[in-house]
Parts: sequence; structure tokens; C-alpha cells
Amino acid sequence: MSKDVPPSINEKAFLLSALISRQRLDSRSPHDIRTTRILLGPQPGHAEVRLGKTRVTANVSCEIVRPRANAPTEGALLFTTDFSPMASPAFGDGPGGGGGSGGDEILIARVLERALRGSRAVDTEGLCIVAGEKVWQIKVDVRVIDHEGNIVDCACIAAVAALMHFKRPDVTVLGEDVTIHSTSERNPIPLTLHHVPICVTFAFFNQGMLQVVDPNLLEEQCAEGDMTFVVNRHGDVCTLSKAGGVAVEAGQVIHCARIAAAKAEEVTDMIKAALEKAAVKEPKVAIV
Amino acid sequence: MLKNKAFVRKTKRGTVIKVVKEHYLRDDIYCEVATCTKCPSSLNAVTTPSTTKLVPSPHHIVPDTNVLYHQIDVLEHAAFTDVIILQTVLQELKHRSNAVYARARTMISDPKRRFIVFCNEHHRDTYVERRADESPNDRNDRAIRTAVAWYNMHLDGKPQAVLITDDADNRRKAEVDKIPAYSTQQYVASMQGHPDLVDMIAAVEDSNIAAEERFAYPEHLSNSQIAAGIRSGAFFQGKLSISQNNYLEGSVFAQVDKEERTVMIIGRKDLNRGIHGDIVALQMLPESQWKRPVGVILEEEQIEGQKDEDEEEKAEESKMDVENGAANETVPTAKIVGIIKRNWRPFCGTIEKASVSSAASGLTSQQSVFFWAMDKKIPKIRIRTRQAENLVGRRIIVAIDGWVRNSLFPSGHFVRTLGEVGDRATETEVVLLEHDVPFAPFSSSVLSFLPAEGEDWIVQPEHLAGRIDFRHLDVCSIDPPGCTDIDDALHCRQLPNGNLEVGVHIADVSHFVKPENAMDMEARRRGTTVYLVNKRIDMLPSLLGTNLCSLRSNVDRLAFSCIWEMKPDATVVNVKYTKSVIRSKASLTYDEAQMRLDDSKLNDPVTQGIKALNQLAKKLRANRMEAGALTLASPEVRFKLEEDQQDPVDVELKELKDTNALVEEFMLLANIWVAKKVYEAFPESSMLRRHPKPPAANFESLQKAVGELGITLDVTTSRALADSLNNATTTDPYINKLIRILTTRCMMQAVYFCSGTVPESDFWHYGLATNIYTHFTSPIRRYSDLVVHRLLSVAIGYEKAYTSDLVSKEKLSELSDVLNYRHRMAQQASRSSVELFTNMFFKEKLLQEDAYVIRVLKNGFSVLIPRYGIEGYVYASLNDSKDSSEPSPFVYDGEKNRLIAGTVEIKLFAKCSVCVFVEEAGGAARRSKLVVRLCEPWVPGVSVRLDDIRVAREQDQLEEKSGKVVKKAKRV
Repeated sequence: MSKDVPPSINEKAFLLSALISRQRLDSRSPHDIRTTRILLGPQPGHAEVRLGKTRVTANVSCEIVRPRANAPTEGALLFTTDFSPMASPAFGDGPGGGGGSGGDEILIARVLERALRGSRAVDTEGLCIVAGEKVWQIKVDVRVIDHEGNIVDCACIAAVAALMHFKRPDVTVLGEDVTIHSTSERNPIPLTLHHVPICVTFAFFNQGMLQVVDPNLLEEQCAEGDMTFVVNRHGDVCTLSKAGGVAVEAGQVIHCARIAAAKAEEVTDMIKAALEKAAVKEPKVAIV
Repeated sequence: MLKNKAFVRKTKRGTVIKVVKEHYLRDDIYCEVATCTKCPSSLNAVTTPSTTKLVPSPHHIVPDTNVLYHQIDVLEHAAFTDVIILQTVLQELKHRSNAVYARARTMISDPKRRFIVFCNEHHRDTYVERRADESPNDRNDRAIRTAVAWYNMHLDGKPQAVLITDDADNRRKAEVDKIPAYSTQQYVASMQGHPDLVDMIAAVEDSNIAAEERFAYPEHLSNSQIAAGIRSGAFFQGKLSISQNNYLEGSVFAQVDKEERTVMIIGRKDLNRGIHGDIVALQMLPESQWKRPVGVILEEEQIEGQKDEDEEEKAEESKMDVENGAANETVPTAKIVGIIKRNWRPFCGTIEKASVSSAASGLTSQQSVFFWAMDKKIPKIRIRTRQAENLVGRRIIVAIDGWVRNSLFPSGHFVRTLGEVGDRATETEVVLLEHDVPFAPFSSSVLSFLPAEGEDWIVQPEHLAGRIDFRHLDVCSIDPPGCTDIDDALHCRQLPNGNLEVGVHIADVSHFVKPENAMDMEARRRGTTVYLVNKRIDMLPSLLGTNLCSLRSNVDRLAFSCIWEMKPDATVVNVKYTKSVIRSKASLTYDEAQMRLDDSKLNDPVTQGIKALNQLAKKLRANRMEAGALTLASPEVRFKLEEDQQDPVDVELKELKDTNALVEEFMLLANIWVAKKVYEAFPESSMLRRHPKPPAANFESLQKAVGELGITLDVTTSRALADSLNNATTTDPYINKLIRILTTRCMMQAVYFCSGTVPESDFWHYGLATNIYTHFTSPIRRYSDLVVHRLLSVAIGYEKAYTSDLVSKEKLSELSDVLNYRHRMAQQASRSSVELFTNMFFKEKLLQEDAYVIRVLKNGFSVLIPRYGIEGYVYASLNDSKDSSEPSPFVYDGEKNRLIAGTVEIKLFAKCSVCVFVEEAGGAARRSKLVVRLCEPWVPGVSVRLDDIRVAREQDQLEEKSGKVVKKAKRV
């Protein structure tokens, strides 16, 4: 069982002193996020996001299932996360993982679920085909390919981009007959998203007095604590996750929330631009 | 002591399992009443019995589950102490609602209140086993009663135990067992010192049982029963069609006693959950119960607003009450006994604002709201959704799931949102969805059948095989301005023998669209191109429609030509049909062509051709009129949109010029001659078009009305009708146009049909007065023309091979039905689109215009406003949207079909003055309505003055604006 080697004391001290003089080791300003590259396609629902060197892919697929008894008119949304050992030596291949990191995986998976399902970003009512019998189940598979810090943010962008890119087959219901059309027969339909939730993570240093956005691996390992906001571009905070770590004052939380909202707008624009680019490359559809 | 509880249960998966539980009973459960001598004292006993006026002797109350659940607020009041809560009651409560259970528990744990819990389920004397035929609910009620009876026996009536239950049935049974029992209302009213408690009682009737008794539709028969009934002749089946104007009136066109007739179904009960479009099984009512068609316009929205479903029923019945003034005879009436096939589709519409309760906490709780479909024939639908508040004011799509017996309305689920009400794109999409117009972009499989060269496709030498090269001819096309899909082109030249050669060239679509490929199937599905005011939904991908097939000028194009040699008097000497290649010299608009006609100085070949064509066209037209062709009128208007195709700037009536008639005549000629050729080649399987003669009955009311103006309409033949129309003049020239418009409405629909299915005598096209007719000249926008192209190309020997479907009578007949349906839907969609734009045009406007009465009904009359070519309905009473407490000043005279109010008579063709404005789609209204109110002649109680309306509207707008300001503040 191999664990990730923690950074040396020298490195930690160097990082901290640089931060105190408001400099980050990769010459970003404290509230900058790393270069984000969003790659969509070729098949609908597939997204790969690179946040600096962190790489996460998300894949969306759909299936017809029976709905839950207490919600006969709603579809289902399922998330799976996979932290493969290829991403980082910290991820083991057993359920225990690499020591402390095992807990992180679950935490990240939970934040992701809360962000996308709990915030009702995806309209599940529109996924109903025949109430009580057939509904769409949307499955999102998130895979971490490379861990260079801040997997949560990257995974969230990937999941959201994949959901926005995904198109499900068209269905016709006439009376009690249901016909599902293949993609060549009828153009598939995109999912309805009420809003676009974006994760923004802050890492804290120096007894919680300094915060940086989008920590890379070294910063994550040296941080005293971290806090993740899930916001959308309208400024609605969907989730706030702070599991352990150094205590943070209320004023700081509000301050971070504002920064998060601004970042969310940036990222949302990036995702939209990527979607438009992908739409242009798709096989030509006649404009009627 | 041990007992077994066994019962059978169905799991979520659907499997049936038997559950056996062990249940222990004890002897050492004590009553917890302080004064009891038999039981050891307990810490939490009830000590102080209550006394009230109702029950003067000391007693403790024992509430049952429903009371504890619904009246928890009352019981939490400090006035209630020393109450006995039974274990049964507490358990039931826990299942029902965790929240209320928690509150009850808090009360119980409060030592000052002295509520005790008596474990009657485990007490040997009060345990009750479920009897075989008893429902769990009944068993619990019996357990409660047993426990109370035990208390009274145990304590010897000092103090008493009194059961409090709101279920009348329970009270009755308690009385039988000699248990004192009262309802909450009775008990609380009698409590001394706390009059305010009575107000806190939640009004909950035992609505469950009562509601079901109160209202239930008759049961539907099973499929086998229906089949048996149809075989024996007791039942018959047909497709249910709900009246556009009255949602409680349906009709079926079915075979009854070997005859095809229209049978009515009137009223909610008889309609028995049938929805427009379903195939239903009906049973004829005995003649004594046959009803008259109700001559009112009834909209469900008028009944809306009644919270109580019961009241809605009563309101409906009162509106439907037919007094015996109507001259209508009774018509065969039936009732629906079962549904054979449901034909539900997803419906567009809006949520009824009144049914949304803002108390719901938004994101997490589902609430039931009502949904109005745009289509007035569909009833309200109940849906459960979490996003109700967001959906108000937006157009959404809802699908129906089912309609149970004891629900007044069907239930459904939300599918998706379209957009804001009133937004142009949303409303256009609604029009398309509601008329079943397929408008999704062409799928990749369809596009794969386009020519590989795409835009760079040109006519190659190999295309010339089998075609005549007409590229040297001076062909031109005349079309509306902005037309990109040019189907047809004409040419005309002088022949050496003094005759004229006339050619009609039609785009050769069958070259590009081969039978049975995906593009062909999609075109067949669409049936026709749909023209909306601001949008066009093409039948074929635009590469073909506006480019490769379109007969654009100055480019080689493939065509299918019909060439006649004619004498100058327009008699046809011979005719030739051939595939060809043409090169149009000019694409003109009607105006440009008209200018060339009128300009005597122009002498280029194209203009000469047009002039010659014009002469011939005039003669052809004269011949047709001689034969009895009809010129009818329609109040068609065209909207002048602003440059960016957005808001309608002005409305103008379409005018017909010479050039319109020119093109029309030659298109008719081509259609007729092609019909002849195709019928000759395929007598059993040609796709033709006919227009049945309208039955004389259709004209009755019109004839009566014009009779009063001194005009007679002879409807024996179309020639006679045409002549009557020409002679129908009065002092007002518009009346003639009006009569033509109304005559158009008496006409039957022209339909496609397969020649083998109808006798030759029925091929007659009434309106055009021709023996045989088909559609040939617009294959880009009509599928029937494409079929005729294929038939013709086999007939002339161009196409050697053809699929068997092309000549199959059954397939062609089916196809005709589909095309007729699509054609009708497309027309209705166009009309809806015009209505939409009309409403947009009239938004913010308030105008007073002249109008003519075109229809008189019991509760109002329809008028046509010539200036804009729009129709509106004027209600006979101003308060028609609410329950009119004031009767209408108008009295309906069924004999003469008019509305009379004192000296004012509203009858057909009467001229009046109305004011028109648009009422926004607020609340439950499905769409913004065009409201028409009578200004003159002045009838007190009905007529309004323009200025009064203006003032009222300004006031409303001010109120709305101030309301809006408040709302905005809340959001920020």
C-alpha cells in the first residue's frame, strides 16, 4: 500500500512565506484559477476537463427504469466516482485506499452529489415517460485521471459540462404506446438544466487568515483547512462544505462566497463557450 | 402470552408475501388513572377529570387518530389536560405524519399536561384481532372502541372515558356499544371557559367516503364486454370528437343501424372520461332521452374559479340548460360505456394560477395544481409538481397518465417547459405542437439522402437522358415576393401555324426524392409545408426546396413539363407531358409581372409571353365561369412585419391582381390535364382530389338570412350558385363579399382520394366545376403532388420500374387520409398563427370599427370586422365570464335566429359598431383573447362606450404596475 509522500517541512515553510507575501508558487494571484481546458465529445455526454494538471473525465448515459414509488413522475440521477490509482499514488486500489485519502474520496463524491442532485440542477420531472412505469435514469460516471490538486472543482465542471452536452433519445407517447426513436431517426434531445452549479474550493493558511482559490496539489497538502462552495452564476449558494480544518470567521465565509460567485460566472462562460464550439463541429443538421 | 399476527402483503416489486408476526399480550398494563383502586399508582397518571356542559360527569377524553391528526392545534391548547392517548392511535399517527407525531410526543412528555399513553395493543383484554373482512382502518377503530369500553368497565364509570371522533360512522357504532362518543365540534363547543377553541377547529369533513358517494363516473366496461356488446349490436364504436365551442358536448360519426350518422354525447356523466380523439364504445340512449344540441358557446374557463368540484358541476349544468325555445330537433344521443383506445398526446398549456398555493415551500414539496391545455376540447388536468411556482406564466407540456372514476379531472405529469406566455417563439412552437406539425430539424438519416455534391450540384449531360432540352425557351416564373421555393414556371410562344404553345414546368422533385428512403418517409409524415406568419416548416430539406429543385432564374434546372398547343381562343389542340431541363429567364413577383403586362412599351420575349398568357388566361377563366366555377372570398389578411420580421406593423387585406389569376388558371389547367392522364394510366390507383357537393341543408340558415335582404341563393348547381352570388347586390357592396365568405363556410372540404375507392361520378370538383382534378403543380410543398409526379412519370414511360406501393389501392387510400389530416392541421396552424399575430398587433390598442354580424347564437353573436378581416364573439351579457346574476337584456328567437333587445334586433348581416381590444393571458386564460364589445346599436347592459373602456383599461394598467413594483422589491 503506497501512500502519497507528504511535502517536506522546507517546502511547507517556503509555500507559507510566499503566500504571506501574496505570491503563489505557480505565480498565480490568490484568487486565480488554473488554466481550464474543457474538451467535449465526440459522443454526446462525454467531457474531459483539465484544471492545470488535474484531469477528470465525466461520462453521461441514460437508461429507462421504473420510477421510485414515492415519486412516480420523476426521473433518476445516479453518480459514480472512480479514483483510480493512475491518478495519484494516494489512491489505492482497495476500498481503504491510501490511508487518509480514503476519506477524501467519499467526501468528494458526496460534495459532487450534493451539488448536482441536491441543488436540483437537472430537471428530473421532465424525464418522465409514463408516470409510475417508465422514466429515464441518467447516470454520470466521473473518473479522476490525474490528481494535481482540487479534484472537486474539476470533477464538478466535468460533470456539469457532460450533462449539458448530453442528449437523450427522443420518445413519442401516444395514448398508452411508447416509441423510443434511435438517434438517426430523430435528433436526440438535450437535458434541461435549471441552473449551472459550479464548485469553487478555497484553501486556508496561516491560521485561516489567508485563502487561495483552486489550490494545486502542494497547496492542498500544506493547507490548514479547506472550504468548498457550490454556486451558480445568479449568486445562489447551493452547497457549502467545510469538513474539518482550521476555523474560519463568518466574515471570511461571506467574503469567500462573493469571490466564489464571481468565479462561478467565469467558469460558466467557459463551459458555454466549449459547448458552442462542440456544437459547431457536430455533423451538420439542416437549419429549418 | 403469545399471539400470532399473520397477513399477506404485496411488496414494491409486485411479489406477494405472507408476513407472520409474533405479538405478546400482558396482564400487567395499568390504566394510569389516579383514582383507580385496582391498579397500582403510577407517576404519570391522569388526575383531574374534566367536566363540560355536554358531559357533566367527570370524564377523560380519548381522541381517535383523525382527531389527533387534524385537530392537533386544538389539543395542544392548555385547556386540554388529562387525556388518554391509545397506543393504536399513536401508531397510526406515526404512519400518517411524522411531524404531527412529534408534536403529540412532545405533548405527552410534558408532565404538566398529563397526557398518558395506554398500551391497548398489548393489553390482554383490549387486544383486537382483525376479522377476515375488515379493513385495517376498521380494525383500528374497533380497537379504539374496545379500549374505551374497557376503561368504562374497569373504572365503573367513575371517571368515564369518552371517545372523541369525527367519523359519524364510528360514533354510530360506539353508540351501539354504549360508549359515549362525540365529535370535536360538539365537545369543544361545550367546554366552559374556552370559547375561542371552537374557532381553532380545523374543518375537516369525513370527506373520504362522502366524496366518493358524491361523485363518481360510471365504471368503464372491460374489453371483452365491449367486444361482446359490439358484436351483439348493443354498443357501437367511433372516434370521439369534442365540440370546439362547448367542452361538454361531444359527437361521434359512426355506423348506427347500418347508417352513418352523427351521434351526440352531452354532459359530463355521459362523456364518462372520454377525451377528444379516443376511440370509444357507446350505447345509444332511448329516444325519450335524446337531447337537443345546445346552441351556446361554453368555455371551461367560464366555469373556472370554483374551488369546489361539486360547484363546478352545478355551474356547468346551469349553463347547459336548454330551454324549449330552440327550434332544433332532438338528435340521436348516446353515452360512453367504455374506452377502446386512448389517443392521448402531450398537450401544451399553462398552469391555473388559482390552484397554486404559495404556502408550499417550493423546492421540496410536491403540490397538486391544475393545468389548462391550449386546446379547448381537453379538460383540466391535475398534475403534481415541485416547481409549480416557477411554472405559472409559462407555457408547459403535460402528458395525461390516467383518469380514475372518482376524480372530476384526469391526472398527468409535467414533460417540459416551452417558454414565457406571450413570447413569440414560444407561442409559435405551441401552435406547431398543438396542430401536430412535425417541425424538428431533419435527422441525419434524412439528410444522408441529399445529393452528395450539395450546393454544388449542377445539371449534368447524363441527366438529359429521356428529357427534352427546353433551356432555349423563354421560361419565367411569377411568385409572391420573397418566395424562395419556386415550384412552377411558364412559357408561351407563337407557333408557325398561328396557334400558341403554352408550357407549364414544375420542379422535378421525384428525381431527388426516391420512394421509400428516409427523406421520402419524412416528407410523407409531414405531408405538406406549413406556412405560419413568421415561419415556414418545410416538407423537404431546404437544399432541395429552395435550391436544387427550385426553378430559379438563370440556372439549369430539372423539370416536369406539360406542353399544350392551343388555339388563340384557348381550346386545346394537343397535349404533351415530358421530363425536361429548363433555364428560367426571370423570377418575377406578381407586382413586377403586372407592371410588365401594363407597360405597352416593353417587348422582350418574356413580356410577350406574359401578355399572351394573360389573354389565354382570361379566356380560360371565362370558360370555367361558364361551367359553374365559384369565386368565393375569404377575409384573408397579410401582416406587414417590420424589417427584422418581428412585430406586425400593419395589416392589409390580400388583393388579387391579374397576374395572380394568370398563374392560377394555368396551374388549374395543368392539374386537370395531368389528372386525366394519370387516371387513364391508373384507373384504380390514381391520387386525385375532389370536392363533394355541399348538401342543401348546409345553406338553409344562410338562405333564410339573405332572403330577408331580398336575395335568393339557388344552390342546385354550382353554376346556379355562382350566378346567384353575382346577382346578390344590395346598397352595401360589402354585403356581397360577406355572403361569399359565409357561402365558403357552407362548403365541404376538398379531399384527396384514391380513384379506385370512389365511383367516377363522385370525382366532381364542385368549386372548380371540373370532372376530374388532382394536385400536380407544387411538389416541393405538398406530398400528394410528389405521388402524382411518380404516377405520371410511369404513365409517360420515363420511369420503367416502380414499387408496388405506388399502385396499391389500400396504400394510396391510407396515404390520402393521412395527407388530408396533415392538410387540415396545416391550415388550422396557419390560422392560429394569424390569430396570434392579430392579438400581438392589437396589443395595447383599443379601436372602434364597423362590423357585420355573421352568426347568431343563444348567448351571443359573431361579427366580422372587414378592415382587419378578423372575427370576434360578442356575448349577449356583459357578465358572461362570471355567474351572471343579471339576465341578459337579449332574448333569443330560435325561429328567426336573432337576438332581440327591445327595438334592437341582431340578425345576420346586420351592421354594427364594435370596439376591439386584447385581454392579456392572465390567470387561467390560455391565451390572450381578442375581446369584442358592442358599441352600437346601443343596448343598455351590453353596449359600452369606447372612452369608458379606455379609462377602465388605464386604471387596470396602473394597478398592475403598482403591483409589479411591490413584487420587484421583494426579489432584491
